[in-house]
Amino acid sequence: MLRTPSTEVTAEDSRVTASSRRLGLGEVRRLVSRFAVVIALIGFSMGYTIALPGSFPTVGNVQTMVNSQGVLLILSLALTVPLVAGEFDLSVAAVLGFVGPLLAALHGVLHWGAPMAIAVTLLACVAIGIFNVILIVVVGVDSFIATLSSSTILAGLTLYVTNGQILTTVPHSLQRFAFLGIPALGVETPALTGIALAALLWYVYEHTPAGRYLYFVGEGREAARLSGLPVDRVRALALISASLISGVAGLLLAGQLGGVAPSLGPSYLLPAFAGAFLGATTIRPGRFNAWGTVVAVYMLVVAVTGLELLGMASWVQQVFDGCALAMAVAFARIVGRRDLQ
Amino acid sequence: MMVDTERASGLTLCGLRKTFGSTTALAGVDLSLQPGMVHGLVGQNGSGKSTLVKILAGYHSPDGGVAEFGTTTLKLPLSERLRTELGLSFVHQDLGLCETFTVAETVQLRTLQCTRYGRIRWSQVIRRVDGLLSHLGTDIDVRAEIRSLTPAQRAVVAILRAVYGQRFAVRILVLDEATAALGRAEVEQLVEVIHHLRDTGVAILFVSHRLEEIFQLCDWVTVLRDGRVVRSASIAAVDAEQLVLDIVGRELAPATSSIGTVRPGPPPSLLAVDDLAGAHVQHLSFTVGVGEVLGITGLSGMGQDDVPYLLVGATRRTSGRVAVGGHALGLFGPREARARGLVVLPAERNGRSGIPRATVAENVTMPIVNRFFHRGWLRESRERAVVRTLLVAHDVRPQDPTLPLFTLSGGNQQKALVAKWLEAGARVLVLHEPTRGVDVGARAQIYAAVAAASSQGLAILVISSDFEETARLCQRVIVMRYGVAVRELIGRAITPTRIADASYAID
Repeated sequence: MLRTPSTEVTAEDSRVTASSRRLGLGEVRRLVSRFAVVIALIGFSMGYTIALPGSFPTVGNVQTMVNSQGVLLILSLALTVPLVAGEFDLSVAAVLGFVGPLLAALHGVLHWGAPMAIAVTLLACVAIGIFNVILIVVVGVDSFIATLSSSTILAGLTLYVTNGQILTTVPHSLQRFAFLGIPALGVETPALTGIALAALLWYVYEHTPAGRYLYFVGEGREAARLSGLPVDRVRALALISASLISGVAGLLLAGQLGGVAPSLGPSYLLPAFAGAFLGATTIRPGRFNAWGTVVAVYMLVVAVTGLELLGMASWVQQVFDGCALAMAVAFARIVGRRDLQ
Repeated sequence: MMVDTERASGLTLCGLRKTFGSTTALAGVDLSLQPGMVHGLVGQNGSGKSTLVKILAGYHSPDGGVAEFGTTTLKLPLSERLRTELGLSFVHQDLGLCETFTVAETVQLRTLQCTRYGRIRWSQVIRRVDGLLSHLGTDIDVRAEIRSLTPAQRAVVAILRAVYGQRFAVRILVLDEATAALGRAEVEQLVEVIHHLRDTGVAILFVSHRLEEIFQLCDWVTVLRDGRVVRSASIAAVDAEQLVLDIVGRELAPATSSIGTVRPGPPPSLLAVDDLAGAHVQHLSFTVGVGEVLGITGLSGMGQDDVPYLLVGATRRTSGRVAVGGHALGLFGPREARARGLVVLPAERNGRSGIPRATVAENVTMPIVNRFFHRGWLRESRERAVVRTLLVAHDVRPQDPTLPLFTLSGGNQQKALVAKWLEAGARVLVLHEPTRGVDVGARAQIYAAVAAASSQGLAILVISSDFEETARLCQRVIVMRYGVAVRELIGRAITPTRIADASYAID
């Protein structure tokens, strides 16, 4: 089963906190650790504003940062659903990369209408989710391996659908929709959808029994099963939701780009994981959570954009994302180890 | 610092002190480990036992105190090199065995003999380990895989590895609750091994919750309470009652009075089990009535441990009918069982009955969380208020629903989980080893919670390999041997001795 990052407070820690609360230090330390990623986001923003007054804090740059990360945000949030339930889903990025070409092919090659093509594409995402569920929940394959195989299958199918070419037959209505958003704020549909999805997932995770069930299934599967919770149904729904939401992200990406290359998906995998895992260290440390993921995704893009504006080459992004993921999981491990004492 | 290990005698710890924040774990503890002696260390959870062991292992550094080895004074915590020179070795509660290794591989892993070309001399390894095994009078097969061994055999293998599988000569062996997973009878299989090691001059520190083991195994006993030594005496000079008083520091509540009395006539049956069978259970039939406490016991590994999971359907039963209040259960597992009011509180608290890192409130309301979902919103303040009331009613401490479950002591976790099922409207409560790994004081409180639940009209089934516990809690006891019920004891006929006799098939 997947090891999730663990809760902040340990027995020893709480004692230390209690004794130093008189000084106010423990409380400050706890808050700093809880909001470290938020603080980093603010810190990077302020630092770059001072260092790059001409290029960083401009309306254009802020809009670019917000809008360019909309799709990634949706994908990161999609990933948190199975992660909360204790399952990896490596296929989210492959789904993202597959739906654009599929839609373009249905619309451009088979000349289906846009609504029909979009509906069928989303149904295909549900089918992919069901394929994962059969492997993971019914057969009992480890989710890491199962979704590795399904993502490889999808990569192959993507090549088949596109025939290795860039398809430019994304429906115009979808392209217009992707740029709709709130024009007054310059926010496009993907970023807007990401924020709306974060609000929805925050509501589900924190304020509904369904969120509790997801967490129980991820954190104590045997206990949940013996307590009579519908463990397998929860796992299945989590995996299918992830595929479906990734499909939505893929559609919006296709709309944003207008043309879809067969190689789009894989580059989104690591940033999505970095966002979800880094998000789990903040706001509600130790639990995959919606707002933490939002903050993490935007912290990463702010940090990388600034570095690029400072003249660093674009390789810096991958290095940065990789480091962020490593730091996030290391943090989870260290806190987890402390819990066990 | 070099230690003269030839002339030196035993290891003595003097004036050990350790605080964590505002909590004092050890307040000046002395402990002496002498060659050829088994030293028992007892005390409730939180008395400082594990802190002391962790200081010995070099895991915590104490705030004060030294170790003396013969005439040499050593600084604490002991460095890895010093521990090697002293010959200090540990066996912990989680024995740390690899299921798919053979006995020989396990024992000799760290000291494998190789040829000049780096090939392992398996024949030599096997001969040596086999020699050790037969020398100690055990009949463990040297080529057997760990997963095929009984719990007692596993413990023997872990001890052998700790003593003979090191690259240094072991002079001091620490058994840190290494017997916690064993039934009482299984410990007896260890007595010979441990006494043999003692007689070869090893100093042994034996940490345990169970007094009977202390009396069986130890020459000397030290009782810790609240970080202080309250007694340190030869085992011949103390008796069990005295020790319990020392450990608890107050009189235990008298044996529960509301249960143990036989009601006139059989109570209306709530749980009816007919011809239940599974991998390790055959032809088991019984009923449990309203307000009744039925015990199923036996030597460890006699099949009783499977019964709770067969009942709720977490383990597939090969035959048999289970009915709750007249409704037969299908094969839909724990979900269906819970809907009928049949629930199980599993033995291993970490991971199966509670979720350690979830909060107490989340754990307690797990089956009833829908109740707090009102107009599209989970009403957490109401949930916390309900849970706090429950924690007060069941005397769970601390009474803070927002703490992670693992921050509570074992006894308090167990009480919180009993509260969870009572609140969820359970009608039949199956308790699997309810007090395993729980200290003496919390044990009495768990017994009281069971008594309270039965007086509220629940049917209670206790699966335990602790005969004293079974005798104390239950109005009827079924003793199992090799998967079948061999004896039923009722009312006054239930005594630990009779249960033991039936379990060993003495009578």
